[in-house]
Amino acid sequence: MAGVVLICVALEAADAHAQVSGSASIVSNYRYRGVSLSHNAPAAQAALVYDNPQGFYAGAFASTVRIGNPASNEVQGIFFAGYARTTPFGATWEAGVVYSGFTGATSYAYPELLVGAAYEKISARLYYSPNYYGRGSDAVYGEIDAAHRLLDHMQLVAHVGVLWTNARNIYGEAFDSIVDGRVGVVFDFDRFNVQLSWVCISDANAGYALTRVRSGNGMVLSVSWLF
Amino acid sequence: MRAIRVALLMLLCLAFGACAAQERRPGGPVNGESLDRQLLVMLRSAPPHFRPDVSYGAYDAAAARVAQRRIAESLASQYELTIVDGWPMPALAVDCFVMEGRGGASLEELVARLSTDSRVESVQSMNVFSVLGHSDPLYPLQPSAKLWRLDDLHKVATGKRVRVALIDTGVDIDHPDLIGRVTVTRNLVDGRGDVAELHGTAVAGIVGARADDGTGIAGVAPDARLMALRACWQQGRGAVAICSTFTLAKALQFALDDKVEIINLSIGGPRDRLLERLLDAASSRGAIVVTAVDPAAGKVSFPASHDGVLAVAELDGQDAPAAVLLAPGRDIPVPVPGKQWGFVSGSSFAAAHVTGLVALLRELAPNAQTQQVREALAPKAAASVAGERRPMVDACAAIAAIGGTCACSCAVAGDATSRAPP
Repeated sequence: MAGVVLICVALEAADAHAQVSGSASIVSNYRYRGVSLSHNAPAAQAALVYDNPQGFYAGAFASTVRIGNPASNEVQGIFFAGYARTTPFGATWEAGVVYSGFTGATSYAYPELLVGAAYEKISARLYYSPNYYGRGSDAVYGEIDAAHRLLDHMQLVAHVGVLWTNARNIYGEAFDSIVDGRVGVVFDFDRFNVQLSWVCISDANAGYALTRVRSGNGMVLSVSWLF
Repeated sequence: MRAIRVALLMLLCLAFGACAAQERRPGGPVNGESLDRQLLVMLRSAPPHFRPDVSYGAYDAAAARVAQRRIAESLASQYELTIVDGWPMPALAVDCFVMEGRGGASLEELVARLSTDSRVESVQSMNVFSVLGHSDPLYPLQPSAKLWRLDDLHKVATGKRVRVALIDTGVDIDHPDLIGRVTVTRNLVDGRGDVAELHGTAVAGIVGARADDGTGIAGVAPDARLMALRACWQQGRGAVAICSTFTLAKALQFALDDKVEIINLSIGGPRDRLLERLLDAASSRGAIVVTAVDPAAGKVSFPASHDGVLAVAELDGQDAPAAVLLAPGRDIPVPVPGKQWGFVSGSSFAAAHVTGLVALLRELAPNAQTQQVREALAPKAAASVAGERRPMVDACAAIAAIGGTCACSCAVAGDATSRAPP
């Protein structure tokens, strides 16, 4: 949380005319790339994002998590920065860096590079980490996200992601590629946002070494306050 | 699971309820009395990018939208303005807010002050536009049938699958000549749903009325997919109608979102920076914009004066610059609201003819761009000979130029260029 506070202060001191947005959420299960980082239990989250008029962005995200061996209640912080630009034809491309860290389980911290493109309601991103979750192996994660507005205040959203990594599970076995998916509906009302989605993953044990819990397929509900 | 089902049902109720509430919202911008006190304030919207929160970066960055609103509220408070409405315009990477002055400052003063505020991407006053046509006594003739040989054209193309946006007043979609012809309707003026008005219904009929159904008239492009975007509102019972910068901009953004291929804008008014930018965005995305020339404007009015659009006047507009296309626009039989037909005249309806014809050309050559279409439509006869009437668009020749096929008897088609208007 200290990181979030620091970013708040930094943003306040920076360009006062840039855009700062954020959200505070409660999720019934924090599924990160299909893996439950909250022991299949609810989690509290907050995000703060800064966009400057030239296209640079930076932000921080924090979530309560339950990870480690033995699993304990910790906080994950994700810090990110990048540059995004929209072409005259309406497509957007971006490049950035992401750093994920945990309280109490500092060895799980890892950096990532990302490149992405978006057009209208479809986006695709590719992430590369040289040391995914600090396990000494590199990993590439690719994802495609899409949204379709059904009503003025209701959207259908979908996500599919694939993780390729040389990391091994707790039995020393190499993972095949791990696929995760999500399909859901989002209701947006002014400053509130409610999302109900079904999340699935090709290997429920994919995150077991980190979380000590299986990540089965199931529904996730989230309520966010936007500011 | 039961709790989730109940929650979902409640949210659906709220979603529908919120929609209905939004539609009941009084439309400030449509109030003709307040348009001259309104400003359009554009705020930069950040491009979509990675966000690790629950949005996954996939759908509208709703939080960013809230942040934009916060900036707009701060501006409104600082400059003594009231926020009337707002609309995202991703084609220009801005969010557009309509604001109304509530202090003593003049509109010009507010524009000058806001334009120096670095939070503001651009600012302008709200302009008013009017449609270009008027009702005429009935006269049983459809000029395009003879002058453009519609029967022959329709053997080659009918505008099949070509998406055409009609930015106008409301269209009577239940009119017998238009039933099933309008695939999308959107009222961007107020929350009244579909509104049947004269000008929009007439334009829709000329462009795409049902053909060969034993009823009324045949549209120039009877199989084109029509999108009726109500951005203008009728004044009284005639064809007189006005539109604002904001309603037109919303309609253009909507048309761009739907990837229309042709946009008909049978309106005229003052030069408008926001609309210019949206027209440029439309052109850069391959849409062909057809506009009407206002004969009362002295010189070519906006948006007909804008680069990259096709400007059209009726055949009597002989004084129009050479770049202006001439098309039938007098005594045109059209569907009018209330399951009736009437006759109209004006450059609005000449533009509608060209829009229909461009739909035929786009069916034959889906990638044809504005310049190629303009060259195909420009009459080949010697227009500069002193004393001779300027020829109108030669539909048969245009089809031959774009489609590489001779829809009409080519020898006769050439003669059409020198026909005088009825």
